[in-house]
Amino acid sequence: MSNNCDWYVILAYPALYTVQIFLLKFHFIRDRIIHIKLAVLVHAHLVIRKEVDPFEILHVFKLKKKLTGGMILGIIICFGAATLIGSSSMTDFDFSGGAALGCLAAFLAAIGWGIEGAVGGYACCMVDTEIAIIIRQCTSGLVNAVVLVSILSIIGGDGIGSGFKVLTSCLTDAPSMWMLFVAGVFSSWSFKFWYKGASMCGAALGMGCNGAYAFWGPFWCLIVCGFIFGEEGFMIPWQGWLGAVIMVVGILILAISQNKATIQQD
Amino acid sequence: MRPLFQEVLHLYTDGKERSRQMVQDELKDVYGNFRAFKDHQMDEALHTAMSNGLLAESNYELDENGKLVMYYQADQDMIDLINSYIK
Repeated sequence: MSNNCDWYVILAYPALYTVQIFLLKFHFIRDRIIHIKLAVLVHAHLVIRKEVDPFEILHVFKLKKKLTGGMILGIIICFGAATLIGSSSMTDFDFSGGAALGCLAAFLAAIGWGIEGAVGGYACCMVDTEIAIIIRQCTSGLVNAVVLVSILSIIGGDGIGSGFKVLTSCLTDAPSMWMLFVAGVFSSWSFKFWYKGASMCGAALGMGCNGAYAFWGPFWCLIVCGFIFGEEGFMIPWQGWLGAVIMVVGILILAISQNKATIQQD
Repeated sequence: MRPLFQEVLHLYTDGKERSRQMVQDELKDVYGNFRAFKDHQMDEALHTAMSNGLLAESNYELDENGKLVMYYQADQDMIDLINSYIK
């Protein structure tokens, strides 16, 4: 594994993220559920490269940092703020079987995302963050393109091949490729800094800060689609603004508690 | 030949206290021309290892330019963890 990898980094990032961004369109449940598979696949990849003992993943679950009460409070506040922001898009509150199943799936996905944060932090100790995120995104892109497209085609009832036909027609659609390419470049930077930040802050604070995307996503849609391109319907409801303020408070509490806990441990 | 950061962690398994400059001096011969060998990235790598419980900050001082120099050390728990990760 050479560290002089500039040329293929420059080509691989936009190409992979182009596919990734397109495939997000297929997700009618949040795409987090795929990250459970990813955490396992990244780990498997590292095992195959003989850089990692297969059982080391158990070490990841040993809490090297104690979770103090203040940190748990910060996490709960962040979670509540993200729920508040998300609740603005729920139209009716029927606790039917479908809604409960969806919530359970989202919860499992969130657990998977948390596992990925911890495993990613460990991976960034072993290799450079850029290499870690390339491994993660290669696996993610391929699994999304092959496995998830097939599963969603079956769920949609059109048969396995229909998803791939849509995929190829999208990749050959010249007028929209530039937009996907630009989105891919920005995504690569965003993911790279997410891995770097999460590994340097620790899993708890990294995931707490990561939750702020629930605000930043709609915010930048408002700026780019709403103001710059002049489309209608991107104004953020009051839950979004209030949720953002609460999220910042939660992150502050989490960071200060983690800092206090680290000082006490020494 | 191990990847750079794994070699850095391997150095710390002897339990001695080292700063980033000392690590760079020890690895200069083999890894000197690596892109990740630069000061900024080595600082981040050591900080990342500390955040994940593989190293601990043991000491700090200001060098002659007034810049902060951080010393890291691994205690026995951390040495065992590093050795279990790196073969």
